Amino acid sequence: MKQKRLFVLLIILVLSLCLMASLALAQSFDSMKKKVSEYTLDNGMKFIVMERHDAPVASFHVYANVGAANEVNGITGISHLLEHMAFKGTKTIGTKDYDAEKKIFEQMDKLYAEIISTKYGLNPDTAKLSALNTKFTALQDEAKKYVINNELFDLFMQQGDAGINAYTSNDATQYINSLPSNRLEFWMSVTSDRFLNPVFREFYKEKKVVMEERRLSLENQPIGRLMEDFLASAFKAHPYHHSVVGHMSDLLKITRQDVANYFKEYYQARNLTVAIVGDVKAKEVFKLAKIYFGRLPKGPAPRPVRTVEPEQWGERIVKVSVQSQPILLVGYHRPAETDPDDAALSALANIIGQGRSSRLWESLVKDKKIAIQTGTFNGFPGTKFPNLVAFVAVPAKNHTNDECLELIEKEIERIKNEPVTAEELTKFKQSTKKGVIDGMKQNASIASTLTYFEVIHGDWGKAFDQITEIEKVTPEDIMRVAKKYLTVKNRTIGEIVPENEAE
Amino acid sequence: MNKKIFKITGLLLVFVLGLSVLSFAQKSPKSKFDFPPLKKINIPKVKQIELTNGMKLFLVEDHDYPTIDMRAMFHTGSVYEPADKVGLASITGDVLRTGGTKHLSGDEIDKKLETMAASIETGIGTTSGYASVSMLKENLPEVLGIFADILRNPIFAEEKIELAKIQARSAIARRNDNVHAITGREFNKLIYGADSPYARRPEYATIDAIQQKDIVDFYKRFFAPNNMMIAIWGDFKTKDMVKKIKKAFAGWEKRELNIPPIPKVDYKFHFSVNYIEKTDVNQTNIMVGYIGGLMNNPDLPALNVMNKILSFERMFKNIRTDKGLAYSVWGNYGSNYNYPGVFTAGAQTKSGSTINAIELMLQEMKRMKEEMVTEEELQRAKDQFLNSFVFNFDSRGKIINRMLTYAFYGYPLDFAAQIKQGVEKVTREDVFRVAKKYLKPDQVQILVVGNQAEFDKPLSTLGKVNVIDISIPEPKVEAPEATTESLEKGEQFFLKTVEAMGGMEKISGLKNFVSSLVLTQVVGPNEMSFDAKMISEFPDKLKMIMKTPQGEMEIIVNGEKAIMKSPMGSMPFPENQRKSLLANSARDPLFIAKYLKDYQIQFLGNKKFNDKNAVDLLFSKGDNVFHIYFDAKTLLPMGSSYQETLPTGPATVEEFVDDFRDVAGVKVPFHSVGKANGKKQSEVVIKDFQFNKSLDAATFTIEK
Repeated sequence: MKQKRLFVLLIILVLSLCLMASLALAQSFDSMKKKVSEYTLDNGMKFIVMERHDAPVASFHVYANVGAANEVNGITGISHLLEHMAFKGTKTIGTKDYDAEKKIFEQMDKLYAEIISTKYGLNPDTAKLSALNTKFTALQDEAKKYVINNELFDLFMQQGDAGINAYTSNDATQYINSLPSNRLEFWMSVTSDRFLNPVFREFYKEKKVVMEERRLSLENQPIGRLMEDFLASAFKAHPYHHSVVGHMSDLLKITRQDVANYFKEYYQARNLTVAIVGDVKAKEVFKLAKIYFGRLPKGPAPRPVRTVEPEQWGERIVKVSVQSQPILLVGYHRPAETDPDDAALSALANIIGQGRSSRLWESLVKDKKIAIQTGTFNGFPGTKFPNLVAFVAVPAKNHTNDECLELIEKEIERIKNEPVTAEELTKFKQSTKKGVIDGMKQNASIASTLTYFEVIHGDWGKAFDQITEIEKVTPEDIMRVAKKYLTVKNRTIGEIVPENEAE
Repeated sequence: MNKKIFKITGLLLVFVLGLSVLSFAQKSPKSKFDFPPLKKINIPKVKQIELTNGMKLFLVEDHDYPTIDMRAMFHTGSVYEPADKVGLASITGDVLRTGGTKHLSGDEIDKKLETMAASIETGIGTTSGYASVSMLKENLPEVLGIFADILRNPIFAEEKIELAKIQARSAIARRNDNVHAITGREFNKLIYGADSPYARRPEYATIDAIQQKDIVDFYKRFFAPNNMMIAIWGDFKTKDMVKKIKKAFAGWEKRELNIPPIPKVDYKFHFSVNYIEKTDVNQTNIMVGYIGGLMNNPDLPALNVMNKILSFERMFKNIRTDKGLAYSVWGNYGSNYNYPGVFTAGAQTKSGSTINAIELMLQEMKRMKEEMVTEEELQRAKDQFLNSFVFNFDSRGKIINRMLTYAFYGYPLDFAAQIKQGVEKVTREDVFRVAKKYLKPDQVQILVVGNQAEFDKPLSTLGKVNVIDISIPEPKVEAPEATTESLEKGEQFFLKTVEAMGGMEKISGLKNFVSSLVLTQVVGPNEMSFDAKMISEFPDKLKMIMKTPQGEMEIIVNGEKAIMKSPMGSMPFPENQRKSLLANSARDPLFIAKYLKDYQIQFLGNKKFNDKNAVDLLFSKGDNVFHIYFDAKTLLPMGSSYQETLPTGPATVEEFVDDFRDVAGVKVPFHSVGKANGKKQSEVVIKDFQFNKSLDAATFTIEK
């Protein structure tokens, strides 16, 4: 009896400590939120600024609301290829004479079309092909005379850019810079020109670079092959089914005109969102944004993605046969991140598969010792559209995918039928909070978070509010979403099967 | 007149002003920007304290976020582990965290920390160990308590050691899965030497050899407060934090440590071409290089500038942008704090442009030595370095961690600022001088990992090719220790089975055998069968002739030599497969009986094999270690098992034999099935079998 009372007291103490901590956190988020302001230009382009005056630096994040999910067959990989082309300069950057090189581009494009139709037509004429190729090389050499190699990149680097990069995902294309903060206007000038007057020069060479990137990151990595085939099986209709880097045959055949059309549709002002975080003044940023980015045309709204992934009719299994030890991936369809079930699904993913005290780690790694690693992907391969929550296991030596699957299934049944413990729920909530705080420490990651929430959730403020949503999750919610989504019919299993064991 | 001039000037002025008003609207990207002066970097005060037990603290407050982080460093490392226990340092670093303490089990620590969203991680690398902590500030008392407990009172529970060993063994089994991992690892071995403490990797045998006592001793040798430096940053009051640290580590006393200096690196410059075959890739991984230097080299600023120019201005701009040959390409003279780094240039390119890419990389290295870099290249490289310097100080975590690193390796705390001053002074001549001194395109070691069949030119165009075998040495068969008794019993039992097989006299008279058979191979989802003939002369001559759909294949092994013939022509038979074939012959009970004195036979008692009662004998002949299971009733062999490395990694191979028939008074199994990791690989059905045939003298001849 006495012990019980002590226990109750302890719980009250712990709860009140947690509550106090949450309050402190909410306060520090409120004060951060107050440092953020936004401004939308007449052409629809939105600028978000968070002032942080600790160090004289700033991070710049341009979020183009376009990614591999906007592609259709024939142009897969074009979002990523365009990201590469956005480093090639403008009418004045990267060239010695734009008018002269432009004429060569037109000839090259015609010639390339002829090469492709000859090479892939019926009965290719090899003599003709070789003549065309020689001509093409000559034009390429001539075009090279006008190029200033990597001038755009050099301009940024020379100003001390410590984070110049760009990323393409299924949902978005993002351009990043980190500069000393007094380079604000320089960034405005170069970046606005970059999206106002892009020139897709060195197009055919850059396609080769992207093909090497496909070989590097996808074709010659067992996991890369698994991911490609896994997503192709899990999504039969929605464009999440092809990889961001695209199919090799599409990369080969995409034309410069395809890229120009794509750019025109998806890179208008209203489809771009910018966040600038660091030692800048919001007023100054908005003033300059108007001057520089006000020049971008408004344009019509880009076409939305039409296809919705239909309900799955039965379990799908895909095996990738490769010279590698086994790996297992089990994915279930789930709704987009904006769905009200999202918080409960995050809790489920965390409790099953994230951390050393997660259920999969405890069962497969620590207890049964049949896996050396387990984990969860939630929001895979994107979050804007309905996607997957997936569990992964890396079998230990002399253990198999089948053994791992059996234990994963056991954990999935358990989470459907028993409420999670209070301890597990606390772990999820605390680790999410810690993650949100850690993501708010660096200019670059804050800028990325602000644009993400603005575009995906329609409001950057939700970056700070997500913790409130998390607080509401109950064990019953988790059980409910587990029953709803984690069904055999709704799942896809992907496996790496060592080559000589393939069945 | 004056008036007129004034008027004209006035007009001009208006005109110019007008222009500038217009141009105020936008500045073109390449125009000159008048950057407002950059605010001074506000470098926070870092408090440095040495406690009486020798622990050195670096603290900086950061009240923007309700978190606290720590990072400790220790002088230790895998360079100090014995060569027959490679993996000891890494396992010690891992189990320090997972193995629990006198007060809490490892699992309890996991749960407690994760419920607070806190993390503590520990690890030991090549020449240092670390312990890091991250937490919400309200959990400081509890997390700090666990942190101190882990460092002071670890118990290295056996169960968690076993778990770490499983992880280590699995990592060995997986180490050839990824082509990038292979390239990095093998390149390091080329530079530092395969057995060097800076490059060697754990093997099954070295992991198996590690005992709990080794781990405890290794921990004790290095983990003491006077060997610990720790950086602490976050939302706390310095004075208060120092008090808490003192309290948490109170009673952890300073003690005499005997840590020898890290081993020296001995390198002789030479040219070499090295090849590792990966048949399932369409892109080649290339690394070329040689030994690099130390960070305290006075040439470091000039080398930094040279690296930027070589990597970006030359390799990237030419090989990637202009030629489209690679996604990633680089050239970098590497320097470490305390032992020589490595110069590497590398790229990944499609198989068909391998040699071309290598030649271009070497050419760019040569060009750096032959012509001075341009003023523009120098300016860009320096501007980039100098203008981005402020980013070294944009967070308190970065500032304090860099300080910790410098202090740990005995560098001046303002080392970064010294390098900056150095870079400011670097001239074209300096870059030229260091390029001539440190770039050695004629003395590079080249490593190529890929599929030679698809290369643009033979690799031998570059020089004599050294083929590197990366097959994974087999795990040791786990067996109880042999005793005189178990060995005696083993031999006695085996002699009984020899009688059952036909008797020693008959068996020792066997010289050769010839058999016709049907061989079935499992290939992916299909089974393929073909007729084959096998001729064997004891002890080390073999000939296999297989009638495959592609034509007749022939393999001849004659002692140390082996060859493979097909309709496409002859080619050398891979060395590891030659050994594997001969090892296989030596697992035949008849062979063992003939050469009994070469074997050690251990009696392991009764076992179930293939669901029948069997007697398990463990045979070893050198590193050929295997079990043979004998039927407890008939005493005839039922099958064998052993560990072997297949192309997919290590496997347990089992062979099942039956259908014994009498051939010249000796019992021979006419049917066998081979399995790897429980899955069927092959099956043999013998059609005809004869001993002691007279063989053509040329049967096993291998022509040059």
